[in-house]
Formats: sequence, structure tokens, C-alpha cells
Amino acid sequence: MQKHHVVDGVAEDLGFVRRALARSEWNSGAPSAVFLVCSVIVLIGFPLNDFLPKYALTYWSIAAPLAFVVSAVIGRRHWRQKGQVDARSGVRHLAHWGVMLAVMGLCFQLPATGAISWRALGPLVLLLSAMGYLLAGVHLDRRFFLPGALMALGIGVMPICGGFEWTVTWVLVALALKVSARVGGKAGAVEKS
Amino acid sequence: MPSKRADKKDDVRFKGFGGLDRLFEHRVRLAICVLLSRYKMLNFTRLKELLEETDGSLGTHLRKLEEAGYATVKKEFHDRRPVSWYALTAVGSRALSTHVESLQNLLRQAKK
Repeated sequence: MQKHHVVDGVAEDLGFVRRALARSEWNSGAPSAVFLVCSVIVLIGFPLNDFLPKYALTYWSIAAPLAFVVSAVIGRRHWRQKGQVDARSGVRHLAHWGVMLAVMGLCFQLPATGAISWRALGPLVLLLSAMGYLLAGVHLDRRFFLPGALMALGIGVMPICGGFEWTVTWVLVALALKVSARVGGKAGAVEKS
Repeated sequence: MPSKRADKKDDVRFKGFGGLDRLFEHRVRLAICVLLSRYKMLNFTRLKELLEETDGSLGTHLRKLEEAGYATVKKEFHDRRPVSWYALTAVGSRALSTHVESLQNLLRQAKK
């Protein structure tokens, strides 16, 4: 009898702890502003690849690292304002996007050394971005999955959109990022209520 | 109605849980330490939100943890408003591990 009382009490307490922990993890991914930053970068960058390709390389070599830094600052500020500092998750996000950025930087070595043509660099970077977003969707925040899937789709539609392949991909990715940002905003609103 | 003998038998079976910490007997204090072991720091408002406790009750529990050396507090100002950040100490982390281990033993024995 006493045993059952003790066990019931412990189970009840552990249930309380589990619920508090679950509440802390609810909507603990990237803040919506990060998706908006990404969509702005893509909004300018992808059409630039179609219409002003000579500026595209300069744009991406500045915009991509800048987006990384701005996203990191936004993420840190967001969680500090929320009152929850998750160092482990922060390091995981930084490592993921940092590695992705470094790999993309290394890609520029390939056409420079003649291993691939400059024309092939764009789809390769898009393919790596798709992989980066899809993996982020699996490991960090589900909301990254949709933009990643649409980037991958963009690689498929590129050959049939003669001349406007980047603009078509941009429309898809920007839409996905907006949807992801909205999903995050709604989840936040639900959490507050 | 269980006999006295059965109760005594239970007492014997539940011996050996010296690792159970009296401070963690209250579920709010246990939850605070579990949350602080998961996150690097949590502020008072966030803890209140997560545990659905009143200011007074949460403040009392946090003070007890502070006095035992299980949690530390760092006060800072944000937009001219004071913000208290709480973190788990090494002592608190060890105590929590021992307590959780003892709880697991307890539940394991209860299943037998």
C-alpha cells in the first residue's frame, strides 16, 4: 500500500517535470525574423543571378556571411529576451550554418581551378543549400524543411526555365521561407495564449 | 487492509535510497533543477511561465536552492528593469544526478 503511494507520488512529480520541460521546448527553434532575413537575401540574390550575373558573385560573397552573423545575433537576442539561454542549441545552429557557409566558400575553388565550369557552380551551390536546409529541417527546426525541399525542386525545374531558372527558384524559396516564418509566428502566439 | 508485517516488508525493500535529496521532494524544486540542467540559464519570468507558479512561491523555492548552493543568481538590468538569471551549480548538478539515480532505483524496485 505504502509502496503504491510512494510510486504514484513520484510518477506525478515526474509528470509535472516532463510537462515543464516540454513547454520549454515548444517552439524552441529559430525565431521568425531569421526566416525573414533569409528570404530578403534570396529575394535580391536569386534574380540577380538571372538578370545581373556579373554582380552575383560579389553579392553572395558578402550577403551569405552577413546573413549568418545577423541570424546568429537575432537568435541570441530572441532567446535572451524570452529568458531562456540554450547554449547547446546555439552551438548546434552555429556549427550547422557555419559548416554550410564554409563548404559553399570552398565550392568557389572548383571553377577557379577548372574542375567545373562557372555555369555549373550555381546549381551546385543551390544543391548544397537544399541539403543544408533539409538537414536543418531534420536536426534543428522542422520549418527549414520546406525551403530545402523547394530548393531541391528548383534544381529539377532549372533546365526547363530557360533564362529565368533562378527567378523561378526564388519565387518558390521566398514563398516557403514566408510560410515557415508565419508558422513560427503562429506557434509563438499559441504558446503565449 | 495491509498488515503491519507487509508495511514493514515494504520499508525494508525501500531502504537504500540515501541519494534521495529532501530539497527535491518538492516537485517545483525538482523541475527547476531539471530545467536548469537542460539550459545554461533561465530567468525568473521564464521559470514562472514554465512552472505556472506565483512570484512568491517560485521565489521561495529558488531561495532554498540558492541557500543550499544548488543554484546561482545573476542580476542584470534590461530596459531599466531588473532581470534575475538562474543557473545550476556543479553541486546542484551532482545532487540532481544522485537524486534521479535514486528515483530510478526506487521505481525499479517498485516494479518487482
